[in-house]
Amino acid sequence: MTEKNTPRRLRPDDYQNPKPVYAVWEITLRCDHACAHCGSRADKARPNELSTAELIDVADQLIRIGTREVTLIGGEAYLRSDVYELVEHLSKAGIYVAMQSGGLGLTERRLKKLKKAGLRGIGISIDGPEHAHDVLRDRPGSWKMGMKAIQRASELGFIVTSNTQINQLTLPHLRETSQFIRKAGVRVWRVQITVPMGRAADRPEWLLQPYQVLQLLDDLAQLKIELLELAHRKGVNPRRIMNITMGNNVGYYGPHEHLLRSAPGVRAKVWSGCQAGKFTLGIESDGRIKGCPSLPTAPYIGGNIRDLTLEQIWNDTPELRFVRDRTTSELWGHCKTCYYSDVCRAGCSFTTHCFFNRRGNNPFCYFRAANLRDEGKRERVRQIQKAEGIPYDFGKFEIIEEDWPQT
Amino acid sequence: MLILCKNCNQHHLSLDEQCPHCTPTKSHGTRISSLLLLGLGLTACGDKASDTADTASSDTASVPLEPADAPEYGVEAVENAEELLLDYEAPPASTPAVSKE
Repeated sequence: MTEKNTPRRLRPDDYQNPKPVYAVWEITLRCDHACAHCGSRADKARPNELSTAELIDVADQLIRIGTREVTLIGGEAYLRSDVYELVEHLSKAGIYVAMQSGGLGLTERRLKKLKKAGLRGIGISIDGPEHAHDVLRDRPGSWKMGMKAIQRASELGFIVTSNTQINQLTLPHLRETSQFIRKAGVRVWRVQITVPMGRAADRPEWLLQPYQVLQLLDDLAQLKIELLELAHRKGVNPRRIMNITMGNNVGYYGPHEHLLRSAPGVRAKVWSGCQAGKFTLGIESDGRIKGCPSLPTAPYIGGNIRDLTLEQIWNDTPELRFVRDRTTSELWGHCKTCYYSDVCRAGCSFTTHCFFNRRGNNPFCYFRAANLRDEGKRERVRQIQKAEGIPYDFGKFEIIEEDWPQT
Repeated sequence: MLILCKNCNQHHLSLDEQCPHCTPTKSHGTRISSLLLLGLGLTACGDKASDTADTASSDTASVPLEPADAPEYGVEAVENAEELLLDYEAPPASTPAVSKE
């Protein structure tokens, strides 16, 4: 596989006729963790999850509509005994199949079966050092098992990536985390800000404050520069050391955007707005379809695959079409008058909706926080409404602008 | 298009002839910019010519407003996957051990 034909690389026809090039598919809500920050409140399976036959039917619909890459998630996708059949079905159709996991039960036997079925990539989430990770995962020993899973998967020939949730527990440990996951075999480290959805909405004290985005991105940029320098000293391609990159809700713009959004030596990337329902798709384990796997359920489900075809939901429902059809009219607050408003559209829709019960204004932005800092100001968020307590739910926060404290 | 300014290392719209972020007091990207150039230049150390074939490593790189890839969720997109595995080194023995299934 070359860079030019990676599944997610968009082709001219994709722009003309948007399709879910990349689908993230929750095949069960059953999980061997019950993470304290889990957005879907995963634990037990939903009572009405898709059957094996229905999974295969959805897979066929994805193939027909033009999907080229699928990431299986949960809960824990490997807890479904028919996951191997699904991976094989998708893989044989030419789809790049990967899995995102907490790694707790990624035994050698399971990994070998998944590889034989055609799984190509594995992401194993590590939320910082052992003490922080095990608190967030609400399970002692979780970190050790995750790290072991990274080692096992690397040894079996998987491309192993790792996601880290950034919050008050993990922000102070970025350097340490980058070092031990690199040494364990991780090739791409992606960070994402913890968003108050699901159980994370029950722990507002864990959430990052908007002004801390400055520290986060400054620190990540420094770490990435050090990795580039390490690659230079070793005389190897930087991508063979480890790439650090940002999730959809980290950024935006400012002096680190180019460095942190791009993979060294591959291509320049920049945040160009939420692409939910334009090139991506999220599937919940009971067949409900949304434009992005992270979006909260209630406002963003376009329909259920048991009632409509995937094509009908993709083409005809406003919940799936909102990015394709929207204008800048939904912007408010600082984002409404921002220099990048027409490109950025307030960053990650999932993040803004979960904080403020609407899209269009995102204080978790480097460019905005830096400009406010220049004016001696900063923003904080404060929860004013709790979440209901169901999967993918959210509460509500308010933004407080205040003077930057004198040091 | 967005243009990457070589002075402040921030993007500006191609409609703007001059970078609106650059003022006499705003050139904080200089150090990072030079290091970035070093880092991106390192791609020449790769063992394939294709490593740098479409690298936007210039400090005045322009980036289309339309994304080049579907966005990142779950597992990170990995370019040249097989190539990345070539020099995999086993992790040190200090990696925690657990019982196998």
